[in-house]
Amino acid sequence: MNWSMGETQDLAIRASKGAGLPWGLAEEASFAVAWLEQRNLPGVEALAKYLESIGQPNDYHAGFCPIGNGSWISDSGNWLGSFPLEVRQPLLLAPFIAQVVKNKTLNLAWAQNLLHISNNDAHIAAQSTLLGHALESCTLAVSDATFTEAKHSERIRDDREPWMTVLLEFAQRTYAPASEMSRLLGAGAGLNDND
Amino acid sequence: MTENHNFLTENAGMRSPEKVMRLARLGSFHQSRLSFMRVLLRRMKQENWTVDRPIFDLDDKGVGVVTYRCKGPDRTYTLIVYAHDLPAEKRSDRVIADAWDATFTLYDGEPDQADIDRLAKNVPLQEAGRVSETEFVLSRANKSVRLFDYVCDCLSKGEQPEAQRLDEVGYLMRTTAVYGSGKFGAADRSKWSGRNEFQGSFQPELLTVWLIRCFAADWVEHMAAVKGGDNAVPLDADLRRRLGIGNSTGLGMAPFLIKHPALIHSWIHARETAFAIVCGIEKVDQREVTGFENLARRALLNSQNWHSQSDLQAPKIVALQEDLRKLIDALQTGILDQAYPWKTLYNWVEQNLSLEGQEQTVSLIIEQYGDRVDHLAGTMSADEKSAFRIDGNKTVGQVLQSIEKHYGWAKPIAFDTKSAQARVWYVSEEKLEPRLGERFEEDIEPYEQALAPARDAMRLRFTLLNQNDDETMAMFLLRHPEHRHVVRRLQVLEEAPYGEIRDNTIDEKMLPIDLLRCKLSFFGATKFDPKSDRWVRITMYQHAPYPEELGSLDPDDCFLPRLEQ
Repeated sequence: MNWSMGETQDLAIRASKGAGLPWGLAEEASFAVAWLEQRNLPGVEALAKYLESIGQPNDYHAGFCPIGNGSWISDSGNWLGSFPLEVRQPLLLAPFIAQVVKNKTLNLAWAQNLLHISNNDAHIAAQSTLLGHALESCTLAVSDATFTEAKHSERIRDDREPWMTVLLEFAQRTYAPASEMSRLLGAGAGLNDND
Repeated sequence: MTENHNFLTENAGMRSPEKVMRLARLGSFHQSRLSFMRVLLRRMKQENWTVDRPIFDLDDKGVGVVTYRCKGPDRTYTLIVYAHDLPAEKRSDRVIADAWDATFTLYDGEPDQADIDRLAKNVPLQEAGRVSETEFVLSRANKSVRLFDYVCDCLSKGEQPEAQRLDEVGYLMRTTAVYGSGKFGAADRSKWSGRNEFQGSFQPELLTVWLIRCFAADWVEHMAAVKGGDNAVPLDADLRRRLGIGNSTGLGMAPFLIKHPALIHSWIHARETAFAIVCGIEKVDQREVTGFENLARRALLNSQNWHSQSDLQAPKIVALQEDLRKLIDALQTGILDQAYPWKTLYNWVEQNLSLEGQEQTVSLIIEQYGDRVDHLAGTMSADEKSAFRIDGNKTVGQVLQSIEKHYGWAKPIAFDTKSAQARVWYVSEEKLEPRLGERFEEDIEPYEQALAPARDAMRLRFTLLNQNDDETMAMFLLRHPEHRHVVRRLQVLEEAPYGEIRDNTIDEKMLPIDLLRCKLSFFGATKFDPKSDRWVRITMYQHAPYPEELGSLDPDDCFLPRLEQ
């Protein structure tokens, strides 16, 4: 549907909040999705699948959350020490790891997937089921790999559409059902503007 | 930059955030020469922008397509207008409307027929349509029917409308939404933020609004020509200029000020810096004294043409008129003969005038010093990503100090009382617009948005007081992710002391129109006319030059009405 990056980020916050993440982590989820999509990596799909794995909003638990764990890595700067790590949708860790990498490349690996991460980019070096539903055990190691940074994109690819729909459904949970009373009370507007 | 900000705040005679960032004061702000529509017209004049109308294809009902093409030194932009024939029963300013008198988009470059056809299927639908990365702004406007019909009728008979009738309303059309920055598929701000012509804030949006004003005048002349044939005359240029473009703004805009602390800091900081620079002037000459008195008289005339039935605004206008008379009287006492005359005058103003009068005076004091302050317009934007990443090495003790600095004022608020948390900011399912509800009367608390920073900061403080002072934020937030958004906000505020409103945004007495007024004054709006405590009508670009007048008129001399000769 031709989504802008800004509205995708806004949607990612609302969807994450709707799925049960607290506001501050919902902001991190939005950051992560934009970071991945700008680098042509499937951030929207990764977040949508992660949110689907949570269940009810009250079931949210930071333990296996890639956003919560990613935020810890970014906050603490403790990257190697945090691994091995069990999370869902490990791809979502990449933007946070990139925040703390300096002058080197790191290898993030899980199942048969391998991601090279530099301070400003990430590159899929090997993949099997990149966005599977399982809880994955991930490792992180210093790598001697080099890769060329791709040109960043500022639009969301059209093939993300099915996963945007999933995010829209989660975002829906944050919207209060409308009533004519709330329209009048809440918006405070009059009825007729023929003047 | 941070150190510089703090230096100015503490040492250069700037008004403090404690004084400025109160809702009652923000809700009394007036347009100034740093307001964004003034920045836009100043630049367009300096750069000799030209505007023409490649397409003017309206039928006898006024339905069709019009384009306005703006050429600057580096780039061209085009406003595409879709004019409609709207039945009266569909005319609503509310965001839930689904049809309008005219709909608009600002196109990056010159559209071809395929673009115009593609956008004709989307722009008239507004929120229900989609635009793309070649479109920067999406907007719509409704007629002020009585004035539009009156002006059309006069012109069709070969007569000019009465100036007083024009002044009573002030515009032929009012916009009811102006969407930019990636909304509904439009280009993200990052696409144009590096462009010279759009430095500052909201420049594409305000270019759009200026061109819509032009269309409103062209449209009424077209309809008069249809009606009157050879008898019809165009609107006299001086009368035309008395017409601005209206705007009707509701709660959708209110959370913006709370959600963008770094940006709001940049706006307020620029205005306060400008004011401090001018207050630092040691002596003024007679020309400056006379110039200021003239401005005060023009502001008085403006306030006399400012009409509002609102119980909230009408008394403020009366007080402003009284304030401006007092100000003019004070000028006769030689107050500006003293050393640091503007600072001296402001000290008197703070003692003697209402908040409306105080903030009007601040805008007027800056007015004559464009050469010293206009460069600050370039600082009125923010990179909101720069303070996003949380510094997890900060300790509990350090964050408590930061809360004391930015939210110390909130400590006396009893957030466990009903009145202090009476309101809930939420988003309605319908049109996804922000609304304000009553926490204890409606079932909306589960949908609460994070728009109560003072309450949330006090919750964080309460939790932190029970932690070890040396613990790092990284560790604390691992256990308490529910406080993460507050910790981030504090980090932003460390570099943006004017970024926080120092009032409780969920208090039972909070007036959302104060938030709207502040933002709209930075746009350059005038004639604030609240229709309730949560939506307001305003006028923009009243008295400003039209495109063909940019060469001959000084736009900075047009934002207040002229005194009768």
